Amino acid sequence: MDSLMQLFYDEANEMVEGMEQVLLALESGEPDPETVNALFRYAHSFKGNSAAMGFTHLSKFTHGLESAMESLRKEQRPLTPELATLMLQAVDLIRALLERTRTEGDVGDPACDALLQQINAALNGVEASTVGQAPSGAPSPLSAGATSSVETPAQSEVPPATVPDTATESDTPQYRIFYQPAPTLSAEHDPLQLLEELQEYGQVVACRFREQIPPVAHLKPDACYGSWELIYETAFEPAIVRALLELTAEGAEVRIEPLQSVPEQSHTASEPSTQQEPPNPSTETTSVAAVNANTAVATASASKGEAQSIRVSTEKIDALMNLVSEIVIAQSMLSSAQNADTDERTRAAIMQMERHVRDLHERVMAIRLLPVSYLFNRFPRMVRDTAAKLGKKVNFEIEGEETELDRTLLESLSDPLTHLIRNAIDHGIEPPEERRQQGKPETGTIKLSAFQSEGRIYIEVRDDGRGIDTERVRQKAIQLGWITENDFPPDETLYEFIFQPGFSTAQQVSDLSGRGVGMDVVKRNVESLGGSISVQSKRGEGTRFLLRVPLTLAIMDGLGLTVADEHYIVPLTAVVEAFQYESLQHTALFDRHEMVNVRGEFIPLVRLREFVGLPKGERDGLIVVLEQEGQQIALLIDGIAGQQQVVLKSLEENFTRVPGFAGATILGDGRVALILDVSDLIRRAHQVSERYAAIA
Amino acid sequence: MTLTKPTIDTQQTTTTDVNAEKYLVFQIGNETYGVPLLQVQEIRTYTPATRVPNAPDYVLGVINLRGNIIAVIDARTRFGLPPLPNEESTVVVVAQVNDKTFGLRLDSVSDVMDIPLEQIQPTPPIASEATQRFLNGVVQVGERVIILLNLREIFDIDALSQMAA
Repeated sequence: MDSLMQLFYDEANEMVEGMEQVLLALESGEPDPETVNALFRYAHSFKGNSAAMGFTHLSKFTHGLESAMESLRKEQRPLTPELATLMLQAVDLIRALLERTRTEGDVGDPACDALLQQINAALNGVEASTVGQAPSGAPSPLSAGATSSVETPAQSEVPPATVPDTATESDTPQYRIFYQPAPTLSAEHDPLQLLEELQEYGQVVACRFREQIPPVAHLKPDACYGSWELIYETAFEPAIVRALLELTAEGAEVRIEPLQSVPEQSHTASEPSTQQEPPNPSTETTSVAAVNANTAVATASASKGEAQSIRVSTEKIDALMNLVSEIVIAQSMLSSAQNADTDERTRAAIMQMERHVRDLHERVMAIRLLPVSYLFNRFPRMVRDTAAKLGKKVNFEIEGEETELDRTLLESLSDPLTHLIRNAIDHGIEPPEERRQQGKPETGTIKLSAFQSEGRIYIEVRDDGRGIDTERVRQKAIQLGWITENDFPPDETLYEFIFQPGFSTAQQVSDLSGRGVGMDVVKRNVESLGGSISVQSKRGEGTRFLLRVPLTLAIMDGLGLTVADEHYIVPLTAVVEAFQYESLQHTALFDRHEMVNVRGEFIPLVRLREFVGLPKGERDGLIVVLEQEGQQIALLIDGIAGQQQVVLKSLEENFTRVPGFAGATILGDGRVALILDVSDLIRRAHQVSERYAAIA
Repeated sequence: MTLTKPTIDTQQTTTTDVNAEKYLVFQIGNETYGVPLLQVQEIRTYTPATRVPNAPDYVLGVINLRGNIIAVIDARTRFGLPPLPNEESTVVVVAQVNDKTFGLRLDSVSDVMDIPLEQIQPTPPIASEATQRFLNGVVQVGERVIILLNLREIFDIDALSQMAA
């Protein structure tokens, strides 16, 4: 796909998401005019972009939607649940169409028109539309322009008062708009489009075309010599009209003057609508760029969701990251090359360099991180739909959405979190009647929060629902044969059962959750990211799931192990304990398969020297107990080189998978160290022990 | 630590022969070998590689190439010759084969030459079948006989991925 298309899709997706978020915000919160404006802006830009890409159906549909949003905004109507649902459906439809355009090009969908009709019906049903869309009988701006275009520049401006009295005697404010397109007309600047736009948000009462065509000798074929002057009637505030012109008439010169000639208006100069105008109501001439600057303050709060950003491919960032790692290593080589003879200036320079390199490293690492809002923002919609489907009332709260996390991790967390939240709505939150009976507020609360602590990210899903029924979990476990009738394990153990494959307490299988796959998948997903999940619950009060994940997939805490002069890394999360080998009881099956007794438990012994093909050491070293998925091995090593953060590198990318190793990393001195694959080590050790157990 | 590619004096090496290709030429033992310069990414001084357990003996290990982990193969061991200790002149030629980058440890590199493609002869059958597949042919340039190597076979990723578990 060419880059323009890619850009279009990237932006389009952002806008669609934006619209969705704004709709959800509107539905739950008080109607904040800035939010409504944001919705409008998204729809408007989307329309423009898709039209520019030649997706006429999409653009047409968005256009209809925009008009509906407009009348919503204009009349300051509340967003009824019915309307919100319809609007959200429209957003879904846009999204689906957008996907289809990738393969099918400019496609339409009959559902579009139907939905638009529904939306309009809903709009009109709310209350009799007072202003609505421009009456169909209104003079088309084009015809109005055509009739007045006979005027020549010599016949200079008609004073406002003498404007043809076709203006309706309404109290709608009128403006005189002077519009001079950019000197060079291009495809993006379509004066007709502007006029049509205006017609949608108000009424063009009069339109005059003026031209100042120079003698043919001086005529530039692509220049625009015409300008328009309009008398425009609209309920909108001048700022909005200006914004509208800005969007359509980039690079053009636009002047807007409020007309004082309307009788009701003439005495109410201090009305809010006119107050927002600059103190001097006379001609306000600014280029659009300047208008931009003026309105920047006003739009700043509205655009808080639109971060200033550029798009960079992750490949580029990875390349940058590699380069920075390389600089870090070169820097440490430089630092260690200093000796007593190094002069002061070099020393100072190296030290300064060290600081900057560290800073650079941190900043580049930070580029890969994204705020969790990227992920969290998907959920309000899901919660809304799911709750509505299940007839539950849920108040969804998000906290700590600015917490940053590695992009790839964010993606991988999407499924587990979706599942946890759905579960919370389905199993956690009680139906409204039940809640009322228990003296709880009818609306349940689900809170999704993220925070960072000790270099890790914690994500919490908390609900105030019925909590986990430990007795039912126990019964289910008995049924599954995991425990007997007489076992009464502690709650913590029972909670652990939830994460076991094949466990599901849902009494009826709904299409939302409770298919028996679920929590075990959640746990596996989280663990595959190097994270963990825990649960706390109180009967009748709610449940809390806590996910703990590393900041980034690429970096992990490692423990350096040495054998002979070689250096290996194990993930610190797998390390249980370490001690002197002599202190352990040692036994061997058939003199070959070795086990060590760790506090009464026999654990298979793996000699790292043997595993990596080195001769046996002369003296006994250390034992490191490693655990993964509940199984342990005792790894015999020569020594521990200390704990360090390591950047995980692929061995397969340029070489091949090496059995027994999960990857490699680059040490501070530039050397490569291999990272042991703990689960592979454990699997091998246990396979062997099972084989021997079978023979014995 | 990275050496730049040997500077090529285009004035001198440009020939009228359109069908010539540039080759990096080096000595292993008494013979001169060559690999297409297009496949060569860079030439580095040798830095100790990290041994990879259970890898074939010709894989010296892995090194860090600007943040990427690449394998280094010892050319002498690969051809069944006894390895030589590291010298000042020992280099690693970084090359790309099938989208994978690897290093070939050589005693030294000597030259970049234009090799007229139509003068390349098939490998004479004197070489044993095992080593035959490493060769792409021989060519005589002036006094020198240059044996052209097949890097794809030398860095045989399929064979390497069968590495004993």
